[in-house]
Amino acid sequence: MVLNIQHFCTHDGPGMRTTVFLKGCTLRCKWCSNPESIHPRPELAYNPAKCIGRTECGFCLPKCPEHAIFSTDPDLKVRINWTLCTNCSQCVSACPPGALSLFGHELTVEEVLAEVEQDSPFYRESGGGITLSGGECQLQPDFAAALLEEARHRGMNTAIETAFNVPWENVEKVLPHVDVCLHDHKISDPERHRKWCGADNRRIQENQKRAYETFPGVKFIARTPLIPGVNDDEAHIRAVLAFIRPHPNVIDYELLPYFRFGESKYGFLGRVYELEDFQPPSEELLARLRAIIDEAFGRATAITRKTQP
Amino acid sequence: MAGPVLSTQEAAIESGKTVLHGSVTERVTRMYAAIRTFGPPRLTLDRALFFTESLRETEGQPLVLRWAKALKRFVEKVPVTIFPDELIVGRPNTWLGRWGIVYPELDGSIMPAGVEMFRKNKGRPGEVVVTDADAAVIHDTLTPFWAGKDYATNFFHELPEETRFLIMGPDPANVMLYTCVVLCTSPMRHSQNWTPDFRKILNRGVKGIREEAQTRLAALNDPHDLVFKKAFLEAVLITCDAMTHWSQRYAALARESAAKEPDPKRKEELEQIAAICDWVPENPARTFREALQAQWWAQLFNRIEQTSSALGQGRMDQYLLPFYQKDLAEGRITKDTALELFHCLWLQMSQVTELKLNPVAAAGTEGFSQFSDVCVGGLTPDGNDATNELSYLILESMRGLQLTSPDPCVRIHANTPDAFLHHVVECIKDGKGYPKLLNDEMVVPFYLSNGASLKEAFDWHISGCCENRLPNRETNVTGGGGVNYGSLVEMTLRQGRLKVLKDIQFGVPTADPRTWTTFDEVWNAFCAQFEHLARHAQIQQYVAMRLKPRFFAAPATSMLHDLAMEQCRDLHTHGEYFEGSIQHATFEAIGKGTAIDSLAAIKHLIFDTKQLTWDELLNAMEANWVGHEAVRQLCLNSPKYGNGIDWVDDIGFRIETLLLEYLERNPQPHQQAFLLRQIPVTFHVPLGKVTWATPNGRRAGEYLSEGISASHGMDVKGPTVALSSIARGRNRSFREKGGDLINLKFNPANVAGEEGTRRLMQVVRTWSELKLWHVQFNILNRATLLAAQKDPEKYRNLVVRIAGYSAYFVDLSPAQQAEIIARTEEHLG
Amino acid sequence: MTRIAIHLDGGYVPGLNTVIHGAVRAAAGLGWEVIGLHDGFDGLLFPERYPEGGTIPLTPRHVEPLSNASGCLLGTAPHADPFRVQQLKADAAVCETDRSDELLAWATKSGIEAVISVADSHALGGLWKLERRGLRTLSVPQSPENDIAATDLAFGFSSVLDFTVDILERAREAAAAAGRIGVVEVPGLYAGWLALQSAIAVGADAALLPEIRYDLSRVAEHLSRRLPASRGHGLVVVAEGSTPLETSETPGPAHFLKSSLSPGATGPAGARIHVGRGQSAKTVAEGLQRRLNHTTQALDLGRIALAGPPSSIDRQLGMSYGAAAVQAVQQGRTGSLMAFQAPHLDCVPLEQAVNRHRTIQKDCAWVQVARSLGICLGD
Repeated sequence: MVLNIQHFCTHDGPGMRTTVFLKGCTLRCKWCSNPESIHPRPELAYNPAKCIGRTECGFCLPKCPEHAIFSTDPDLKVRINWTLCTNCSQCVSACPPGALSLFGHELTVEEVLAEVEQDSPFYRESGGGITLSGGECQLQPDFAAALLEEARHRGMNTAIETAFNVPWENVEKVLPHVDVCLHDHKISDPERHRKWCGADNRRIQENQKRAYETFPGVKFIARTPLIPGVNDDEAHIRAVLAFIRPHPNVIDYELLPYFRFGESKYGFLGRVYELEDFQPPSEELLARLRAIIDEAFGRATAITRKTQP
Repeated sequence: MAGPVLSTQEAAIESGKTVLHGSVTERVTRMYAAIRTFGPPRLTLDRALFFTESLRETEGQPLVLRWAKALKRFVEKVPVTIFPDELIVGRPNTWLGRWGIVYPELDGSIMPAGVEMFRKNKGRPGEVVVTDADAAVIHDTLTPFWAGKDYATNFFHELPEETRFLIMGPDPANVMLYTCVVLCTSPMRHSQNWTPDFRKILNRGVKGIREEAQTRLAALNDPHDLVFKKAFLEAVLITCDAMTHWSQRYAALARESAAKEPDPKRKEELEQIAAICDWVPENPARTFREALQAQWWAQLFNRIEQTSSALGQGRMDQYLLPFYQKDLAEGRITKDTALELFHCLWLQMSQVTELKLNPVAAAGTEGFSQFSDVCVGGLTPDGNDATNELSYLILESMRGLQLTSPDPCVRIHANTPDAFLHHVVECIKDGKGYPKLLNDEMVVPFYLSNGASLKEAFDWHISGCCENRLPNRETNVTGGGGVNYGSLVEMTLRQGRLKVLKDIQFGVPTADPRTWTTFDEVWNAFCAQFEHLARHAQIQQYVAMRLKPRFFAAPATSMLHDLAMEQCRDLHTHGEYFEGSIQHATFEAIGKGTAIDSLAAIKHLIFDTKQLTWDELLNAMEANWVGHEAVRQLCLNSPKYGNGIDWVDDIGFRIETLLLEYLERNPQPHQQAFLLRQIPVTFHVPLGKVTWATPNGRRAGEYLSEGISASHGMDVKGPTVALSSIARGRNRSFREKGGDLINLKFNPANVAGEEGTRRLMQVVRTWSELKLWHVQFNILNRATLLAAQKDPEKYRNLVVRIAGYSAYFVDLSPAQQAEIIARTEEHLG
Repeated sequence: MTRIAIHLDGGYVPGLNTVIHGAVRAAAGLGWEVIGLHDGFDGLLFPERYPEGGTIPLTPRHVEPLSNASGCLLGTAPHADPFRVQQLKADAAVCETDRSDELLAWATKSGIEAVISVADSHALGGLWKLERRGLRTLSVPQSPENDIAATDLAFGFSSVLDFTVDILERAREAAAAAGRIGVVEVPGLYAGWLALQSAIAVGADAALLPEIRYDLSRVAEHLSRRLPASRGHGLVVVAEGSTPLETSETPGPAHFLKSSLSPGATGPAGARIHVGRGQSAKTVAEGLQRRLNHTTQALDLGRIALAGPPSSIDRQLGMSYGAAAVQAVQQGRTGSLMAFQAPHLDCVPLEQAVNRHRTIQKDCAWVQVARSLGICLGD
């Protein structure tokens, strides 16, 4: 189940990358900015900006067996009652402007790579490649493994973005085909992790440690989405460093300052997620925390750092 | 909430700074401020007047001689002015600010209407200041003499009727309003994009050229030569004298002003100006500053002589290097004083404004395009990397100020050093749209296949928006013709008729689409319409080539060309083949993305998925989609070029192959090629105006796609896929494959910081590897452009990229502004 | 004996206890047994989270001592959806599952005649779905925005309006003291009743509503005419869901998914992808400050407007809705929504409220009143 393939990504591993999002996640982080990727099945998405209204069009209204599409607004645009929608997707083909679309498609390894290879000229120059992301890409271990293996055969650098909240068997299947593993280290305390992410982090940390030891050839990069008031304290950063530094194949630790404002009320998927109003972390704080990381990795502090495998 | 990431230019505007980058002296900022506050360009009539006066007196003499005498008359009578702070001097006008020349011999018949247009634009984009006195001179003196005698009028009269009809429509008296179906640009300019060999002026001086002409003149003995070559050589002598004379008048003025100057520092500067103008351009330049002054004389003289519409400055980092190094070694200059001198030259060039009297021409070159290309980087004639310290310095000198001219351009090749590319990309990131990049990997093989030697091919110069010149081999002077892809699509679907042009039969009466059952039938009709228009585009080109020697001469340009001097012929006579030359004619095709997307929509919706019937599509288009929005949306959402969809990109390849095969089948005499160019300047806007709704979902009158880029906002998968798609839509196997243009637009946030620079470097490297011809970047926030529409005063210096040139945003019409905004803002992860 | 259940299926509004109180007393009068469910359906689905079980028997003895003034006996459930219940699986993965069957089974097993749901507009869809699956429900409309179709007055609106009017008075006083223009954002994503009625109540200078796209230049123009008289202070009420007439928003590519993942990501038009609470007031305040030579100050009431003591109208309405719901169940009219259509308190089929919002019509009396008072509506 592939959510989307995004070309020309630059935050997901070395060089210029093509990121393949797999749908389905095992956590529910309160700051999730990618709720479209959470559920493991295809979901209807609606972009009202594209809807041309029931006078010109309105073909979707009679198509919905659940009466989930309606139009009462003066602007004549249709609206979706998300509680009623069952994601049956019957409306999608009836929508000429493409305002209704489906997030999530079943694709084969070959189909995914055909799309990914559009970018291959750019990999040569930048040392880039394919990145599997999500959701949680290790939730579909057989597909992920097959995809990454074939990508490697075609000469691409492979990377994954994972939270490691999956059974170890999955990790064992996927990681042998991975060059760079970007993994989250969100919160160290298990109970706090459960509070903010929906599940505790015991298995995550076990998997992390075991992966470091089992796959010495994989380059690991730990990442923390920095959420003010949740995990942005020095002690936490030091705790993460203490956890990762003994392992020489963890080559870097990145802080991702997440910007996130309020609730995603207008999200295409229409679900109202209970999201807190996080303020972005300050530049000063970021600089200070990054200095701690640079010190731990024994390198000079630079204003900007580029991740190199 | 953190604000958006701003480009250097945007940040400067927000903080009210004029200097964007590096060191710019107070002298330069003072002059910049004065030039920018002067406001819209102003018409200067001296050239038109003195040329008319002289040409009137010399009727009956050989044209090239008359031209030289007119030049001489001009330099004798034009006022000379030196403004405070100027170090590089010389101008055809009397104010510090933008100036524009009109050339009555080109299109004097439409001068009153053109001037009317300039004045009508008062307070709006496209305004040119024309004083009442000037308007009166045009009305009383210039128009009465030139009416009916100018090139443009005669060109339209000389066209075969069918060709004229396609270009100008049914009214035989029309000499102004183009149909924009078949294009012709020769009535808009004397010569097409040109790059003179400036090295001759710098290294040999006018004296050297004069001596050569004299030697050749003395050697003339053959009775044939005495008739056919003598006038040219005499014209060169007069032209050389004229150049020297003008500069000496400036020397005299400088000396006179120095005597009166109370400020000792300025006094010294004026004395230096006097000494320099006494020496160059007559003698070979001895110093860097003399070289720059001589270069300015040469380009100014070219502009007095004729419009070029694109006067390439050549490989400045190459031909100026010896002067720079020598001065540096001998302690005459420092890097900083060299920068200031460059700034002084750039400021002179920034005041040059190319005026187009024809409204369609003006709409097609909005923002006063002029392509003063300054070429840096690339390869040496021996095929090694040519980057040198001046390559860096020239780019650096362009970064400080918000100028639209000159237009720096960089030749990129596989061995362009990373350090230089880094510098180039940093400059691009300033957000002013330059430098543009051209690809050695593409242009060198192009020249080889057209008969150049390897040494020549390595030493090409950039010229025009994304073209190239071999200054001593190529002789093509005539502006090109071409076809409107949008009209082709419309004629294919409307049996050769065009709705905006009142359904008159313009094209071939192909069958009613409703009878077609396969896509091949659509394609065949498209091919038939194309061949019809293409023939006439070529015919008009040959008419122009035949006509030009009767109307124009260019001794100053010709004397810098090896072949012209050897054969003692003016370049405008190139309609008769110059032995040993590479003689290109150009064939423009505008709106490729629109054509691909339209054909793809038909294939997809009518034949492959059968979502629409011909009736539904044609009726919806006929109504310009009104009441058929759902159909339009289906069209908008059908597969589009630029997204890596093989079969769609393949239509692009087929179209390009169709055009190239046609041109290969129909070369010029002497086996010289007709080149396919796909460069819009801003012609895709007026061309869109005459094109009714097209099956890609485009509304009637909307702009066409530009260059070979995807249609506006339709390449939704990002720049990597867009570039790969574009690369796939090209056929590289023809020598006829000339320049084409690609626009990429990034949000400054996506290329922020060192990481962003690296990323853009990778994009450029890959673009080069993909063997694409040209690329340019707009790196601005959409919000800035929207704000500039609302507050033009604050953003009056905002420079944006158009097509192979940059312009001040506020100089553009609302339609063109909207088009710039609609170009895809590419998102990187 | 007849058993019914009652729960609060929606967000918090003041005085929710009154509805429970009314229902329990009316049920007791009929000799019925009432079971209260904690936190929407959570009490049933996750009984282990409650030390004394997820349900409680409710008798007049339980409810009469409760204050109607504040608090809430059963707990609310904003955005709950029994068809997508988030839970932790045994293998530590979080997932959403459809647990509606369990609710139906429980109702059958416990012999529940009907469930009275105090529901907000979001919950009505879910209830309709449950109803069609066979659960007998009777819904009581509650909404701080009064946006539920088919009823003229949803429970909770009156109290929130009272509070809003109170705050607006204070905001204006503060704005006058500081010589500023106060811009106050009030709840109202789809319907602008709260903004419009409170603006009328305090005689604000402008009220911007979701139903009428506003043109900030017009608002500015209007204010600039009024400001000299008020010596530079003003009050603008902005509904959460109000939108400017001229948005630079153009339909962008459908999948700017990755953009939303990236730090500092922006949408196709350069705007932030996610618009949060307080954003409308901020946009208006900044826009006005740019256009006028006056300082503006934005204030977002947010959730605080939804708390506090109920108004006397809501106290009556709550008791009445509760009691009338029990009567409706007795009459076998489940699958309905209680609706107050003055002077009647009746029930209507639930479909009439699903997929609809009660919004302000452009020619309604309230709009005419506002215009006659010189309140600018942004058009």
